[in-house]
Amino acid sequence: MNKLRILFVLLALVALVALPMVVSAQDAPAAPEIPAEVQAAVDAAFAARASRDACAYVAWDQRASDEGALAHLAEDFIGMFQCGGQVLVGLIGGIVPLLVVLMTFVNALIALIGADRIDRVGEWAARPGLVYYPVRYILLPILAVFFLTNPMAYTMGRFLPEKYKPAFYDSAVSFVHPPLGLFPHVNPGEFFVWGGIAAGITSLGLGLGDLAIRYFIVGVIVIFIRGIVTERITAIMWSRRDAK
Amino acid sequence: MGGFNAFLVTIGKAVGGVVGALYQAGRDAVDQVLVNIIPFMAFISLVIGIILYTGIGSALANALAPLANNVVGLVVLSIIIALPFLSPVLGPGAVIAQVIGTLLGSTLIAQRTIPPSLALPALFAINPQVGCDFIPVGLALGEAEPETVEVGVPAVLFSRLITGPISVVIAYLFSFGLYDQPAA
Repeated sequence: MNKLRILFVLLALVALVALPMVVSAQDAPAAPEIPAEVQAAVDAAFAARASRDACAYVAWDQRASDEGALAHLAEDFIGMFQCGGQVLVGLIGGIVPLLVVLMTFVNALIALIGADRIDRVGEWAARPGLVYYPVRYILLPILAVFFLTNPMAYTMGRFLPEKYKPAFYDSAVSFVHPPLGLFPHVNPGEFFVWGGIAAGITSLGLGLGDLAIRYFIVGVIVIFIRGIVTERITAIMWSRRDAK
Repeated sequence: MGGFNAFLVTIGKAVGGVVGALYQAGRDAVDQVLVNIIPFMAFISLVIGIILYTGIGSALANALAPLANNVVGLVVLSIIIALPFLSPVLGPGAVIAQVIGTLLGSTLIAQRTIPPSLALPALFAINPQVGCDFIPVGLALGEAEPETVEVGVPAVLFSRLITGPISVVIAYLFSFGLYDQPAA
């Protein structure tokens, strides 16, 4: 058995080496004429295959193959993954090139500006007073998330007094998804919080710009509210704790 | 001559710095995509492939539809997800939010069972638990005292119960005029 295998491999190697020599020894053959009707049939088959939706389920009695239940089951099994593969190709062809180029741009921007410059905003946001609420729960979280991204953004809390830290965390962590439609670099590992729903909108043939910008704006409003509410709740719980 | 040389060196350093930053940025971007995004895309594709092809997706989506295709349902959904004993469990890696989001997007929104304008409140309804699993770590990153963590964890969890539904309502108000067009 082993000898047979060795012989087979040797033959294959010889063929591999010899075939190009034989072919190149001859004059380059003219491209074989493919009859137009054969070409058309091949084209049609390819087009049908390309346009077929791998995620569409075909009932057993409507399938081309008539082998039987086992063959149909095999088709069902592989069908799930063909459907998944079709989805994956759509994602990689559609979103990935955009993500790579956009993230390159933003990463370069951050590197050129220097992330340490926002430290001063952190010191600014630590001040008490009503005026500093927007700084603490809008400006600081946005800058922290944009420049430091998830999860390093939360380190900006070190500039704040203890009583503001939970509220700042709440505010910053709530902003790691709303910018995803515009700045996916802030949290690429959780892109599909946005990407899943956005894919549905895309499949309807609608643009994403409007949704992305509204998601961002509402995100800003929500983190502001979250910061204020959590700061209040923290203060209440702290006083109760001290009273005990 | 010395001045000219210094000028050349300055230019060279500046250009080198910018090109280096751009190159490093590209390297980081590709790295992030390869390490973080494409593996998750593979996982999401597998899940979508199975649920779409087998029809589980339609069944699940139909079960979720009464909650997800109107703003009251979305508020209820956000309250359920924000419950203080559920939100830390649902948080890690935002996996639940991503799977639910993909499920809603690839089935109900794609079929127009959820009108496209409700995509905005839906984005907030699936996500009131964001970061609830990460509060102690996040606070520690901000160099918080242990006492702050003790107070901060329940404070954030309870706050979500209030701000979760509020965020859905605000998103709903902001969704007016979004994809405003005759029904197809």
